[in-house]
Amino acid sequence: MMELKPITFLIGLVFGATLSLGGASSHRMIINALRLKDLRLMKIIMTALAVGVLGVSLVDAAGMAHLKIKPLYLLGVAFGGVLFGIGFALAGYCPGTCIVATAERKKDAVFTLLGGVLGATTFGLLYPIIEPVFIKPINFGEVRVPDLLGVPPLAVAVLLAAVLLTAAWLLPDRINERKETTATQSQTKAA
Amino acid sequence: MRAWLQARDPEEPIIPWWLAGTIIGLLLTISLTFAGHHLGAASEYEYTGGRILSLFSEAEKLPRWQGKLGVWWETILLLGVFVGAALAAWLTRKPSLEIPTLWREHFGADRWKRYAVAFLGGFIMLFGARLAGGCTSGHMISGISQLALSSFVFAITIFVTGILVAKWLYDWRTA
Repeated sequence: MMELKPITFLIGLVFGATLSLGGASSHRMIINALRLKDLRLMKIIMTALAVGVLGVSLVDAAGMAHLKIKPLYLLGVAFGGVLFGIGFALAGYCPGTCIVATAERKKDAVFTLLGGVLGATTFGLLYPIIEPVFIKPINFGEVRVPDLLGVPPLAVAVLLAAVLLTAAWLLPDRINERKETTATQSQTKAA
Repeated sequence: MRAWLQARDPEEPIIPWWLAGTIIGLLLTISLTFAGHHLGAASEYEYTGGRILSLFSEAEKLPRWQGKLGVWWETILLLGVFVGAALAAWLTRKPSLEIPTLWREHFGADRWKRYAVAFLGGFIMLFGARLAGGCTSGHMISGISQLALSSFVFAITIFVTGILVAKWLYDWRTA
């Protein structure tokens, strides 16, 4: 187990505050992102990925990054992703943002947190049964896209960042979203 | 100043998307450079459960959890996330929320109905996250930034499924 550093707490502090201020812990913003009606969350993710991939690739090119590549075991990653997507749409929070939402006193997020602990723990207990079926077969190991294409990581990073930033810049914030809540609020004010 | 003091919509952002995204991307870069780890949340859920179980069983001796139930970087990171979010919410006077507004508009004001679905969603989501090996930040954002093929597969499956289920729940089912 690696040494604990104070900077980890500081990174968490800024991460939590940013997710809260950016609206990433908002059920409405998450669900409307998945309904493709409010794209602001997608744009946060696109910008984070563009800045992240550029930053990480530059630091790595300088030999200073501690990369940790997740292995690709196709069955587990894809089936886990499907389950994650179902839970994501039901909860309207993700594992990190439900901690943020709990800190903001959004009461339903506490239940996602509790359900999450139970779900993750159940997985841990069932791991000996799951591993031979989902993790061991069709396991390609720690594959990176640049290795697959045979090009330098920095080239892939620049291209990906350019595509993501252009998309985030060009996409509208909202698509045909009827301002249901805003309308209700103004009615309440008028009454 | 008056706008600042007025009740805020707890479900609307305060800073623009490009600023939030840039900060998150920089944090990940700083984290992988100086702290030696990425950003993530999902494993801590499993180890929290393991810690609770080890209070009244010998769960810490399971091969999967052996030597992993102590305080580690993700515990400290998430403690920071919680404190940072609480501080931001307090400083910006973000009000608390009983039920999300969009849920109320589509499924009514029954709190326990919402809490039950939030719990079920959390269960399925974290089971899936552990199976896939990470979550939105730990797998998708941290992984794609490192150009891991696995994380591209994960991102595509969570969004395709998430979009279909959200459309069904909020658009097609009620239409």
